[in-house]
Amino acid sequence: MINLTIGEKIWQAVVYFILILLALLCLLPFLYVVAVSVTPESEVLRRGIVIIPESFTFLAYKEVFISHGIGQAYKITLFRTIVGTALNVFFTVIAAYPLSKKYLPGRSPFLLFIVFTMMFGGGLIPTYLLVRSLGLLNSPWVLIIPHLISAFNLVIIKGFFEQLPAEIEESARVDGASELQSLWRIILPLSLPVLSTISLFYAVGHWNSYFDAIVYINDSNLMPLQVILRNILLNVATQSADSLANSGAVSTFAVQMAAVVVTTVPILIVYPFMQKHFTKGVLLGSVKG
Amino acid sequence: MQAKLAADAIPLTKKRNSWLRTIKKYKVMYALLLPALVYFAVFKYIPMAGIIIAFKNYNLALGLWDSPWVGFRNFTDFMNGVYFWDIMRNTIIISLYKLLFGFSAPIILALLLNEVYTQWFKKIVQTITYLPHFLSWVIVYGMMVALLAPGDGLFNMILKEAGVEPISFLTEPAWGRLLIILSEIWKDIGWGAILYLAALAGIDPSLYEAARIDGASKWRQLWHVTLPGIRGVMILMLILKLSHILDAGFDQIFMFANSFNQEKIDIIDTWVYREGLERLKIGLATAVGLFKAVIGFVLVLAANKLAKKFDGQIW
Amino acid sequence: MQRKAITFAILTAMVGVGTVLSGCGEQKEVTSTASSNSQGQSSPFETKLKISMFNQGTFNAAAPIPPREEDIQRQMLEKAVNIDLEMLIPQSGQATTKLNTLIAGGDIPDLIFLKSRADLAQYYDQGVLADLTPYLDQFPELQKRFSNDSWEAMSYQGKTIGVPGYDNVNGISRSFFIRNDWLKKLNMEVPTTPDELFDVMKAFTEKDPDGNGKNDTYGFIGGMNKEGNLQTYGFDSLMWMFGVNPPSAIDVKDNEPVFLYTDPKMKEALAYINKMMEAKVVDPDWVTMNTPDLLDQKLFKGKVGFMIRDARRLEPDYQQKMKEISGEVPEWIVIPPMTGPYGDQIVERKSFQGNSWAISKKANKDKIIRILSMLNYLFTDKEAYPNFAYGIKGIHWDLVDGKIKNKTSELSKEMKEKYLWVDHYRMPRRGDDAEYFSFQNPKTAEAFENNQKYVAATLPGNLLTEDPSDSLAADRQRYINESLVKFMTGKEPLSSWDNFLNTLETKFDMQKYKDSVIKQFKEAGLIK
Repeated sequence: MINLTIGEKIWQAVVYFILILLALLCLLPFLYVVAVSVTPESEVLRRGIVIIPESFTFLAYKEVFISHGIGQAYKITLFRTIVGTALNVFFTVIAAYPLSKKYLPGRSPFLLFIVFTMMFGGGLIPTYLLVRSLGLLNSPWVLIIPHLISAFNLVIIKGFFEQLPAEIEESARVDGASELQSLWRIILPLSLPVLSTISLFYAVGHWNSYFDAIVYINDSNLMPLQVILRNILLNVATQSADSLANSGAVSTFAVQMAAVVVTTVPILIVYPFMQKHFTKGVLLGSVKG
Repeated sequence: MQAKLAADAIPLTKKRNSWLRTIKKYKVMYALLLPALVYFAVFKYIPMAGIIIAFKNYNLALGLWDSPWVGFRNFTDFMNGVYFWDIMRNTIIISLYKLLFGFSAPIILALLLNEVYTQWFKKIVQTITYLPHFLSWVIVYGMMVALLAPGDGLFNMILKEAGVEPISFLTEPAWGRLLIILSEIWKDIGWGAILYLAALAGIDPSLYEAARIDGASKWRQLWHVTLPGIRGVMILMLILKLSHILDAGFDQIFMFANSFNQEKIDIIDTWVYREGLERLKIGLATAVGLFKAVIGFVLVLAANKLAKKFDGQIW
Repeated sequence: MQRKAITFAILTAMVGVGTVLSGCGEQKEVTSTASSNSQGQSSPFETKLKISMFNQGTFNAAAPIPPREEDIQRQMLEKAVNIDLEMLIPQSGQATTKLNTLIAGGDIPDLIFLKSRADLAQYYDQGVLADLTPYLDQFPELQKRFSNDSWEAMSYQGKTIGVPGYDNVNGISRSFFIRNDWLKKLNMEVPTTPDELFDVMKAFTEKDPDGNGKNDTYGFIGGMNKEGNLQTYGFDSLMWMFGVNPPSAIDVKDNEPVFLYTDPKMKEALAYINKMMEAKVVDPDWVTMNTPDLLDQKLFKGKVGFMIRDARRLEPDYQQKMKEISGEVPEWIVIPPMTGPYGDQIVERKSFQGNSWAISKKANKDKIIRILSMLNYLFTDKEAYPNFAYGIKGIHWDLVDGKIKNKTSELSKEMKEKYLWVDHYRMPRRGDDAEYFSFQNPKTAEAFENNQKYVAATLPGNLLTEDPSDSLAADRQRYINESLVKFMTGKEPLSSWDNFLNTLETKFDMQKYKDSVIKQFKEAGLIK
């Protein structure tokens, strides 16, 4: 790595340049959101696009916390994200393991059975009727149980399991390890990158979803963060024109952006923590050694 | 007669025995699989009975079973719509572009990140490119207006300063699809790369060493080690994306479409929203959903068969 | 002192508007049965009933629902008619989905607020809603609370299937705003005809009315909502100068339906707007104006000289905002609408009573009566009124010298935010309640008052409901909207107007729609 040829140096420079450019493209809009949330509305309207505010105010954050019941919604979202993700990953992994064994009789029909559900579904009303008859309506569990396993994630994790070198597991089995032991001791440690990826997919999925809550929950105390965020974002357009309310309490642009910040920052922090599992080759080497 | 029965019976019991033996042999494996099968049966297959709504004039009060049958009326209503061919064409074109670029962009990003040796730089770029995934389309569109509006949009103000005629990006039909695809790539490039980064992390480093000792150039390493290492995921993602070929992205296009550009970007789902859901035509919406599913399913079956050649099939 | 004068002026103005809001006069002597058993006394009902309420009529869907002990309005309703009230506020944009799943699951809310007559008719057709005709006679107060027009809008197939949702207010949200300082600077008069307006807009665009030496001002800006409906933010007002309007404006003349969007006069309106576009007097940002707040921003920035906005933008809060943004308060005034070539001088049509309260078909007689009693209390009880229309006593309003005084406009921003949820109960507020609006700026009150003269009668087309077998309805709507926009912008020349009409007939089966319209007008007795 030290003695790079000139060609390789140029190549490295190109790579860094492209990545920095892309990072800026992705970062600036986010800075804009943050900037608007702490800038007085008049300044935003006057300047158009704000990245570095001239004056600061945290009024928008105050409004988000005071008038929109964010605290309770945080609890619900944390519950569904933490408990939900744990259950999701557990049930996905235990199903993906047998499905990754090509020798398992019936494997193909089972996989087809699962993949089929990615395209065909009963639609909103039949699913609602089922959930209702199971007595799940208006319970926080309705945010978790109906999405217990994602066929997409299951197929992905199964694909990764399949690509693990079969010899490692075989040697463990020869040593007398049971299937469960080899899953726990061999497969899972080797699959940390994909396990963290799938956990992230599930966690972000839980964090971002709102539709199931809107449909299955009536009690406003059980609504997750995203529902509140959407309320704040979408209400502006319709409110004043239709109802001629006199409270003058239309959410401003700053409040919308503050709501975006408040509802997204916690989940953003998750990613850097799982990046350490992406370090190339570390795991495989350590297990082999 | 007797003999025939006996002859039939023997393989039957034999078969049953072998069945039982198989289940017994793999009892742990089947036990692990059971919760998932039950889950999919209950939460996915039971509601699938609702597909019959596609053949009914669904009435909210009468419900699933008592609503009147209408045969293929919902399907013919869909296909006889004046804009049917327009929305089919738009859906397929947008979807194919998204498949082509939305599929390859994250792979390229992952490969570029793979070339970076400075770990902190790599981590920061990774984290930053993943940010846009968390901005909903409502907000993204709001920003595009701030940037691209024909009058006060930043970009057009710059054009005006430069003496160039402003361009109405958000309403010109010619720009509609391009904006949709670019913004989709921008929003999900970092998010999509995560999976490939996970796959890259799984490549055995000794393979690179061996290649280097053999004097393989960077390109040959990419071709012979890196790409084969993520080929499985690539094929998998391609198959899974095909299953939703007729979903061109409702949330996004609903935000981007307006009276000016919808001739180029109105898709099946936005049409169903206007014609079906807003008018309580639940039968129509279900029929279109079924239509999309059948096409997706056929494509997945074909793709899976093709993938067998590369040993990348799902089942 | 000044405020009192304004209040009086508005009241006289409202009386002048006619008998539309009869039954809400301040001096009415009749004491209702409901008001005698309001606060303090027990309700006349012995058994407690549980009532679920689907309230998409809330004035602020983003406001949270407070716990019962803080929710004074809920307690009042529960006490008045001995019920257990479960209110559900659907999320904006998802209300239909939510209601449909509830109904499909058999959990039809007992009391449903519906936003349009189309919804009311659709759900009734699907067998979801109860016929209220047999019960309404027992509630004369409630019947008197709304005008005959409003009750007519509740009738469908000869039955009354709803109770009016809340009073509409006219003459406020479509006010004609013009920059008086620009007019003065350019030595121009307030325009009174389309041609004069055009000259003013042109001068606003070209003659640098703000004197900054830059060519950055425009004569006009309008917009349209996401669905491409031009009936929303400004262009419809321009079209009224020619007596026409975009879909679904349908009038009846000489025993025939007149489709105002395909009327020959529409061609003139489109030609006028096209002339504006060609002359570049329309701010090019009009194409992205699909929500009212975007247009408000344009108003605040003050680079456009003429627009259609809510008269309440003259209020001090907004004036303050304009000052913060542009450093000075532009002198916006609200002017009367221009008189068109056919003598039309219209701000808007009087709003149709589209919204309504409907009751579940599953509710039995007892429940229906109980719910109607609740609505009766909510809408007609005099003592309860300020608690719903204004908010909480001591916070939003108070008794000053024995008179009710609305203090909402004096509340701090924080207090307003804390009590956002009182908006869930504001529906009983009367359309003519000056105390409710309590304008701070006399000019707002004046604009509101003047506008009343130009509120034309409701269009009969509002009574129409869609024929469910008309499978091209959405496509046709889209085609008309797109075509009108193309004619406006000049993308399609007006010479192909006849072509447009032909395509509507041949490709979009306009005849089927016309037949359905004629049939419904006949049933309603509007044509013979």
